[in-house]
Amino acid sequence: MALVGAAHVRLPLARLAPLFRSQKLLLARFIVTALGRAGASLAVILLVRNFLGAALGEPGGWFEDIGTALGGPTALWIIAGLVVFAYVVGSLFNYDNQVVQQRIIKVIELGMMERLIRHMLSLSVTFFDRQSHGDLIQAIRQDVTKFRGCCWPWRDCSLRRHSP
Amino acid sequence: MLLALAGLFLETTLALALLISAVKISAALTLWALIVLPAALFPIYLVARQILARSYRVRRTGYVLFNMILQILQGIRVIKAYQGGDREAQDAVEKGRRFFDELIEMTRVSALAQVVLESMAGLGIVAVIVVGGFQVRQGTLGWPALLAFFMAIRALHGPLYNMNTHYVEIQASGASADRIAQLLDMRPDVVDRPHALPLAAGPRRIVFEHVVFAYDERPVLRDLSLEVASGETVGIVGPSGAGKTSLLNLIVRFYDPTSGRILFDGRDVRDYRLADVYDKFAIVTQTPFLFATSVLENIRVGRPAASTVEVEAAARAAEIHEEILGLPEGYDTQVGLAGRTLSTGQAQRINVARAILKNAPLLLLDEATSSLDSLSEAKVQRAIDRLVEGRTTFIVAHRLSTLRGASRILVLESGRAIGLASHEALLRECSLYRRMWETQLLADPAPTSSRDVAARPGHDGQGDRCVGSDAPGTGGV
Repeated sequence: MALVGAAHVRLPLARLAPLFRSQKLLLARFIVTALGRAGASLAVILLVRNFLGAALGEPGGWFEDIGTALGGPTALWIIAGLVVFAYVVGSLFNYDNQVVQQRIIKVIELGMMERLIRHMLSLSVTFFDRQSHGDLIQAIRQDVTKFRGCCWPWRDCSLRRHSP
Repeated sequence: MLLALAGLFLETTLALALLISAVKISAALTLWALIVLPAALFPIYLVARQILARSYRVRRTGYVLFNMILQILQGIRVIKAYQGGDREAQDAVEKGRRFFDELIEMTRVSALAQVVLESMAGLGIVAVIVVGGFQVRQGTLGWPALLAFFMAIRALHGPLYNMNTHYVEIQASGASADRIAQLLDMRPDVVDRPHALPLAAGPRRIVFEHVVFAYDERPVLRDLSLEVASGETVGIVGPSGAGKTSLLNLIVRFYDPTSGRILFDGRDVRDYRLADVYDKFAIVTQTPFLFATSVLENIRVGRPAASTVEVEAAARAAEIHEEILGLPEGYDTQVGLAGRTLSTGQAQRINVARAILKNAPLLLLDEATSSLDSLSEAKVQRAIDRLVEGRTTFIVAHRLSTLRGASRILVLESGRAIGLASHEALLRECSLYRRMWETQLLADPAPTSSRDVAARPGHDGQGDRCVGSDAPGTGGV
């Protein structure tokens, strides 16, 4: 079953490769925002660990260093602000990542749709006489959206929010 | 939308369970953790309204794209002949681009709601650490309790985010839900009256009594009066837009008159059950229609209970039987949208066979041969001649030669009956009819002559006066 599935996926992926290649900037932005989001999540965990330690009076850590320099309450507020800031930055990265995903989907699906329409227009009239119109409309409008599922497997993971 | 509703229910129950556990650990701390949540609700509400508004634009751009693709499929011959493929493809891509741009805007707006929600969650976490940490140092809250509380609050974020996602999905399906509701709210214009009567047999007399019909407030038929007896064949002619097809639509009750009445044996046709009225008619339209099924089933639509022998008899009468046998799978050959394409003449004879099989007392022919070449027309015409026998028939035709079996011909102009008489009488008295006849003789002198249109005995054409004015044409039989 897995082999059959792989064969199904290989064909569209090979045909989609040029579309992906033409969108290097978007792909780079996707990777940067995904990494940025992961980094923000990491920062939140580290900040919370120090912040919690400080709030509970645990000696050592960043908080004590900042506390020594700026005074306890100021340091507490700074770290609290940093935690909130990390959350906001993470969510902004996520926001941009989702928009970029949608843009990539647009490039792929619109490109595939254009190829399909141009190819069909190049076929002879007998093709249109023999083919069901419902089937062709389904191919152009809906089948192209199925590429999302087979060439965009990480989409669901990244769309489904994992809070930091 | 249904999945989103189900998801919303699931996430709400999970969120409630986590909330109860958080309250059980520390009610005060729960309050601190969620104190910022109400502040997130208003922006999310605003975002949701935006999404609902955008869903209409996504839907609109979506069906414009759909129409474009349909246009390419239906107009492929014209597109090819005029070498418009590139232009059509560009047009389709442009429409596709607008559709995807709307989707991107929708994503942008819905992702904004997440930014708000996550920022508020961050504030909540900070509040829990500050207040919880303080309580632990004070000794009013234990370490294990703070840890468990933290877990509960973090776990609560998941369902809250998902609830927001489902809420956004529900808003995004707003335009679709609205359209479905609008369509379901539509009511048919033509309905059975309460206690509508059965119509057992075809009417012996059909009377149009000062019938007026307007379509979207545009008058189509004006003060039409007409009387037709059982078995009579009435031709309907007139320039384009004169109201010929509307007249047929009124007889079969696809529409009801704006004013005036159509009487079947003296009783308003609206008093009869609609299904019974439809049952008394067979129709052959200008463009033959084939269902996406076998030839056999296409003919059998005329009478679903008919046996194969009866279907074949109808096909023989329609002069299509031999050609059906010549198809790869004979009567089982798939035709229509999903199958083999037949010639227009063949398709039209299948439509005639369908009408023959129905064996209805009333027959409406709407330009049934006008889209055919002369050879096909001759075959279809012979089939129609057999079909007309013994039935009350209304024939709309541009080509006057096809009205040779009509006892009377109704001439319509701008929705008014300006003549109702035999062919000969109209030639003498009706200037419009005479002009139409002469124009056709000039264009196609060979197949037609005035002898082709034979008046039936007993119809001397004296019943009507044609002066090319707005005098309503009436005629008894």
